[in-house]
Amino acid sequence: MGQHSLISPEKFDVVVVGTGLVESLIAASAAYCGVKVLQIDAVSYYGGTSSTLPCRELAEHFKGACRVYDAVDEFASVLEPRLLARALFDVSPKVLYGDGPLISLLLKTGAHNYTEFKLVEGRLMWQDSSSSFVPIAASRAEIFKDTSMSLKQKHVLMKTLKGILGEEEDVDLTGELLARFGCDDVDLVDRFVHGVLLRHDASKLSTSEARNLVELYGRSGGKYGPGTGPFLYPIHGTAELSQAFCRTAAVHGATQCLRCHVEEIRHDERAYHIRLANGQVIHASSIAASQECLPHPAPVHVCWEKDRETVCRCYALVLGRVFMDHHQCLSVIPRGSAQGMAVWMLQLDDSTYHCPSGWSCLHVWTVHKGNSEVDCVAELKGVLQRHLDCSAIFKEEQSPGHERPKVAFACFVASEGSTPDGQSALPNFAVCHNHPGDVSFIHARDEAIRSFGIVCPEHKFPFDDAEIANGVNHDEMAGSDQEEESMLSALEEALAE
Amino acid sequence: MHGRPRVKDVGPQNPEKVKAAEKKAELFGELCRRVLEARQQRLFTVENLNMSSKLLQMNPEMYTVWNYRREYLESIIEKGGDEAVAAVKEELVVTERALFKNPKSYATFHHRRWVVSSGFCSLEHELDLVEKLLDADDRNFHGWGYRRCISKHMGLPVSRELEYSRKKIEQNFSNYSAWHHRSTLLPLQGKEQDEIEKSVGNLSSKAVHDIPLDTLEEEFQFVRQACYTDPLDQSGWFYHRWLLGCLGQHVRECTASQEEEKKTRVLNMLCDELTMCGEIHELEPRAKWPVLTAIQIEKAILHTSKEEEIEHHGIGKDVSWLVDVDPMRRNFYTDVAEMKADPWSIHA
Repeated sequence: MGQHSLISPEKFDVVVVGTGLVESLIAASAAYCGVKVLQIDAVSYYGGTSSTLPCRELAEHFKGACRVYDAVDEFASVLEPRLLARALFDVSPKVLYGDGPLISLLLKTGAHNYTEFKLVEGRLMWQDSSSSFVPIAASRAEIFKDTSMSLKQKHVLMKTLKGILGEEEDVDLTGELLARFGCDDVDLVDRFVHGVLLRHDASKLSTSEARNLVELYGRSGGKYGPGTGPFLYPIHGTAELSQAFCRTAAVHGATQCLRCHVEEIRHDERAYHIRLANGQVIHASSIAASQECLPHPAPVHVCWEKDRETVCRCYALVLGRVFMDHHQCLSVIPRGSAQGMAVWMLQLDDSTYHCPSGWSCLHVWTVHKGNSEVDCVAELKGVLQRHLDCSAIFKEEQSPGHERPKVAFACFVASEGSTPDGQSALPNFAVCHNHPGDVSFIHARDEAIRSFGIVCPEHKFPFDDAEIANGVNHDEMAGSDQEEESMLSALEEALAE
Repeated sequence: MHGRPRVKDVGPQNPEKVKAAEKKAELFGELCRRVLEARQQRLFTVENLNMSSKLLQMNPEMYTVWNYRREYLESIIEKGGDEAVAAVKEELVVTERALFKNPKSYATFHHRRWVVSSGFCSLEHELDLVEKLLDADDRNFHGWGYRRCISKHMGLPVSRELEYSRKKIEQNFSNYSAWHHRSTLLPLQGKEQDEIEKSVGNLSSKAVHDIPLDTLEEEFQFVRQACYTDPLDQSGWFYHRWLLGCLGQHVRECTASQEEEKKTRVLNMLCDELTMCGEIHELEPRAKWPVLTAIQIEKAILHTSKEEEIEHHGIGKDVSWLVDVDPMRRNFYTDVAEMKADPWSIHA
């Protein structure tokens, strides 16, 4: 499907290549500042790396670089394949903190008007000692209520959380540091690192980052009602978030064009020249591009850290639910992958409109460390077979065990998981990173602000101190002056009667 | 915080604001004068009543004005019928407005209780409202007291109220009111409705010894979660103290009626609590409550089983440690050491 019409005008201040979350944030911020923005994407849908797609369209999104096991037709007696194939998966599923930076941006840009969320009901962790999933308790109230930890463990976990909050020095978070709080048993470290911090492991984490995460967790829990958890998930999938910011960009004058494939980007002293597949050349003073959307050969050379990471994913369409007690559920299995890294499982279902009732969309992923080629299926197979009946997709006999829900479809993908270490210096050219391995959107805002600073250096990021849009908090802001005045007039009125 | 006056941010005085404030005070004074005069003359005109409701919206603490409204309402409510229902509805609206402004007003709640006890309104609705109030601020003791009043009128089963307090405690265990709620309910568990009515919310210490030991054990298990999760938080320890006092009542009873088996069980329970204090002291050496509680339990055990028939392990600290850590209360600790009070008044 080619681009239908030519873009007009042909000169822009900023061209954003990609419609992922970070790119859309950049486009919205730039447009808000009055900058002339063009946002393009090669595909026919918005979302980029945060896209939400029907299961049978995943292969095309990954350009075939995936392994698909499609047994949807075999379940025709349960549900028409045509209907089942509509089940949606989030390419990079991530949760939002209830009081986090992304929520704050949604409010400030007014994009919250285009989004709706569910609170993630279940937060679980696999406990080897009990061979079961236990709820993750990470706030004072949750720890109090928990029944899967011993009294001593509860005390130590609480002490660790308080300790991290009170840690003044900014040092690396290590086992020794945690041991200082008495936090040295595996179960507790798992709960803290995976459950509270949402990290794959404790590496490359400083105490100040940990402190921010613990604070954020504490603020987010109970924010939307007493006893509610800290995480939100967008209804209809993560693409809604990108689309909401794209709408905001459009409202402020940005031009958007899908099905625009970038063939080549050239650069001279005047500007960047972007040649599209239909031959048209667009001129721009600045470019913000998502890594995945860069043409080959890329005009910028991105350097990677020495120790590479690969994110291995599986998108599994399941008849029934692995986590029976919850609709939306985020769980982690420490040391679950073949390499021994944590495996995450995010279950979504019809409550967020991802799939038909009675089914669930299980997003499974893990990070593989090292520079070698990774076999995703091998990394995740153990976990999958333990909790699911994969006989229909792997065409293997299921090992005996408890009753497990059946998988009708699975797609496995490996993608770059490392963080770029830097890029070759091209002026006003930002390569934005989508943090594919992250479990939450914690880094999205900072990445958008960083890229914004590169493409619009003369502007200040507009949504930091802006008042909350659409009068959400105007009553509070009016303050006591109005109160005094209204009281005075009420008194006069009363006496006049 | 309790007992501290609310202080507004005092910046440089804006002369316009000062003038406005003076005018406001003058108008307010005039309004007061008119309403109080109307009361003196027992004049219950619509205008005066409206003025009184506006006055109360601004300052709900003027209980004389609430009295004025009650004097008017008394006769209407006595007559009953549609008029009474309408009047009660109107009155609930007035109190609601006052509560929005200040949800911690003694006078407003007193008035609302009076209105609700007339029986011309929905108690379910009141329960709903108080639940919303406690959702917004679960430590508003006025709300909890009001809830007790409503649930008594409604004859709500004690188990339902215990469930509610458990829910609130699980949301935030730093809540004296929620724990206290349990202490008012446990003695009523298993009692007939008319017995509960007779108790009129004031329970003598006699009622406390009726709490079965199994129930007390469950409560100890429950409060233990708070003591371990945060040994520095007082709320759990206060309730723990009350539970120990309940055990004390049991011992008195057992000694009087010579039930040796039961007495042994109680003493074992005390030893368990003493062990818990020791464990917590090891985990959190700075906390004073485990030490204080341990000392008091030790004294109580010694007082009861003088022959040292019960094995127990003390915490190894005496009152001087407490005085060091918390010098502000040294006289209290000294009294504890000298056992000036009855050793079983652990809850005193």
